[in-house]
Amino acid sequence: MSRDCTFDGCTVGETGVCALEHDPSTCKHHIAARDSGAGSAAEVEGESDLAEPAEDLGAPVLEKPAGAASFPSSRTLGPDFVSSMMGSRYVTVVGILGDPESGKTACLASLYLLVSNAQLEGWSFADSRSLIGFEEIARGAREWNEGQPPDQMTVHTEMADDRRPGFLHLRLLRQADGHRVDFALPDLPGEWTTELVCSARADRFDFLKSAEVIWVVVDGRALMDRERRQGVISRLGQLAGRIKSIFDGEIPRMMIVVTHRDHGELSESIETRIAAELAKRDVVARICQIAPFSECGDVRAGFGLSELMEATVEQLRCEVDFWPSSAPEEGSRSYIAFRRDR
Amino acid sequence: MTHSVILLGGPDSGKTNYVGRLWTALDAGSGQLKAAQQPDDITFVLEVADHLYSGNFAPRSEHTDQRRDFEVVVVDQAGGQETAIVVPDISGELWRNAVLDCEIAPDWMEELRRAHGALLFIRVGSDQDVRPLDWVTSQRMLAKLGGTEAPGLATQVMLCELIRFLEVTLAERADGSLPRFSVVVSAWDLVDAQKFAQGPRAYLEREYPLLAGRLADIDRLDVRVFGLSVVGGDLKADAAYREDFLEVGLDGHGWVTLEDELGIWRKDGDLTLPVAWVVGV
Repeated sequence: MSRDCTFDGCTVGETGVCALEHDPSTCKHHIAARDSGAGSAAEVEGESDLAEPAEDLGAPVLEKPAGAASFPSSRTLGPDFVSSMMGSRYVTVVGILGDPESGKTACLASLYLLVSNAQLEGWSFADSRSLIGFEEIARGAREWNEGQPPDQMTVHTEMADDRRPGFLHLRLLRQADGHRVDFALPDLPGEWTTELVCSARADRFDFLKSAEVIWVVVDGRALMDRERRQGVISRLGQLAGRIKSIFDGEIPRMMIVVTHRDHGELSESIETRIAAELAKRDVVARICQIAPFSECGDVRAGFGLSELMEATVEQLRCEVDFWPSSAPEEGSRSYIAFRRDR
Repeated sequence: MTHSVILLGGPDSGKTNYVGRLWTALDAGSGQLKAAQQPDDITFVLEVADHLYSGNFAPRSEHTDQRRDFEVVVVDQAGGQETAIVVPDISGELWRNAVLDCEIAPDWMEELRRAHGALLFIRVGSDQDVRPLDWVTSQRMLAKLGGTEAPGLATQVMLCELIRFLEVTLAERADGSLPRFSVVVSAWDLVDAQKFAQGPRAYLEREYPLLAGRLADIDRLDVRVFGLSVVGGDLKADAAYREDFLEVGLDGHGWVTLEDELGIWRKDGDLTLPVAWVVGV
C-alpha cells in the first residue's frame, strides 16, 4: 500500500500509475488515502520523526564521496592497449602457453626480479607500462579467483585483488647494441591451455596471431619423472597440433621452455623424444631450460632467462641477404622472380 | 608569470629540508635565482630553516596532512623578468599512497597539470628505502608459505610510477619544449670520493636499476640529475662539522653537483640550480 492509496499494492503515490487502472482523481481508494492522510497528518508527524518529507523521495540516499583523480593503471594491460602500443612502435608479442603449475607465473616473476636487481645478463630495464602488475605477480598477490579462472581477457580497470588475464609490458635495452625491445607478455591461466588441448577451445587465443614467438612452458620435474614423462610429451604434441590449427598451418617460432632446471638437466634422449613428438605435426621447436627459482642444487635463481630473452628476439636480427649472387641463367626471369622462393 | 614546481619523492627523501635551504639561498641572493621581494608568508620555510640554523635537519613531514606551499617571487641573477614560483611541499606518504592507489586528490592532480616542472628527490642511505624483492622472499610469497612479512612497495618502483604520473600530467613549456624534470639525489655528501666522481647517475644505476633505466628512456620529459647536500655535511653524525657549521652559520654551507661538458661532476655552491633549471628563467 502506498502513501497516497489504501489499495494494497498500489503505488500511485510514487509512480502515478493506479493499480486498478482508474483515474487517480476519481479512484475511491486514492481519495480515501488522501482524506485519511490529511486527517492524520498531525498524528503521523507526532508518531515518528523518521517520516521523510515528500521532496526527499528519489533523492540520493548517500552523499557523493569526494572523488579522487586517477592516473592510468599500470596493472595488466588489455589487448586494445597493446594494439595501440603496437601502432606506435614495434612490440614483440610473446604467446605464453602452459598447463597450470607449469611455471608460467614463476617465469614472469623471476624475469621481473632479474631486471629489478640488474641481473639479467646482457639486458637492462628501460620501461614498463605494467610495473605494478609485475610487482603483484612477484608477490604472488595475483591469484586466479579461488581456482575459478576468468573466462576472457579483460581491460585493466578491474579491482586490484582480482587477477585478470592481460598483458605485461617490458621494454628492455640490449646492452650489446643499445637496441630497445618492447615485449608484451601475456599472463594467462593455465586452464586456458588445458582447455585448448582437451576441447579445442581456441577463441581466447586470438592474440596469438600477433605473436612473434610462442613459449610453451613445461614443468621440468614432470619431464624427468618417468611415469609422467610420456603424458607430458604427448600433450605437447597435441598442443602443437592445436596451435597449428589456430594458424592454419604456418606457426610462429615455438620454444619449449622447460622450468625447474635446478632439479636437474634434461637428458638428450628426452629432448629427442620431444622433437620427435613435435615432428609428427611438422613443428620444430627450440628447447630452453630455465630455473626461475632455485630450490636445490647449485643452479642460481633466474638461470637461463637471459638466454631465453635473447633467443626470443634472435630471429629479429636475422637479416635477409638482399640479392644473393648467383650465376646468370638464361630465361630465369630473376628480376620478376625476386623473393618468390622465400 | 607564475611557475609551479612540484617536489616529489618518498618519505624521508629530503624535500622539506631542501625547501628550507632553498629559501635561505634565494634570500642570500648569490645564486642564479634570487628573491625579488620578501614573500608575504614565510612561516613554513622559516620553521624548516630554524631546524637547520640550530644544527639539525628538519624532522620528516609524513604525518603532516595539510599542504604547505612556499611562494616566492624570484628574479634571474642577470635581472630578467620577475617570476613567481610556488613550491608545494607534500609528505612523501601522500605520493606513496598515490602510487599504491593509482589516484590522487583532485587539487593535486590540478597542481600537477599546472606545474611547469618537477623535482624528484632520492636520499642516499635513507632508512625508509625499500629494496627490490629478492628470489627467496618472492618464492615464499608465491608458494604462500607464510612467515614472510610482505615488504612494502620497492622505492624504485614507486619512483618509476611517479615519473609515469609526471609524463601523463606535465604540460609542455610555453615555447613548446619538453617539461623539465630535475632528479635530486640528496645527502650526496655521504658518498665516498670514488662514488662522488662517478656521479649520482651512476649511483642510481647501481642502487635503483629500474629508475636509472627509466630515466634513460624518457622522451616526454627533459631530465637532469643533480647531487645535493643542503648543508654540505652530516649534522647528525659528524660532531666536528656541526661545531664548525654552528660557528660560521648556514651561508656558504651546502652545494649541488652537476655534470659539466666533459662529463666531470663538479660542486657548485648555488643551491637554487635544480629549481632554476626547471623554471628555466
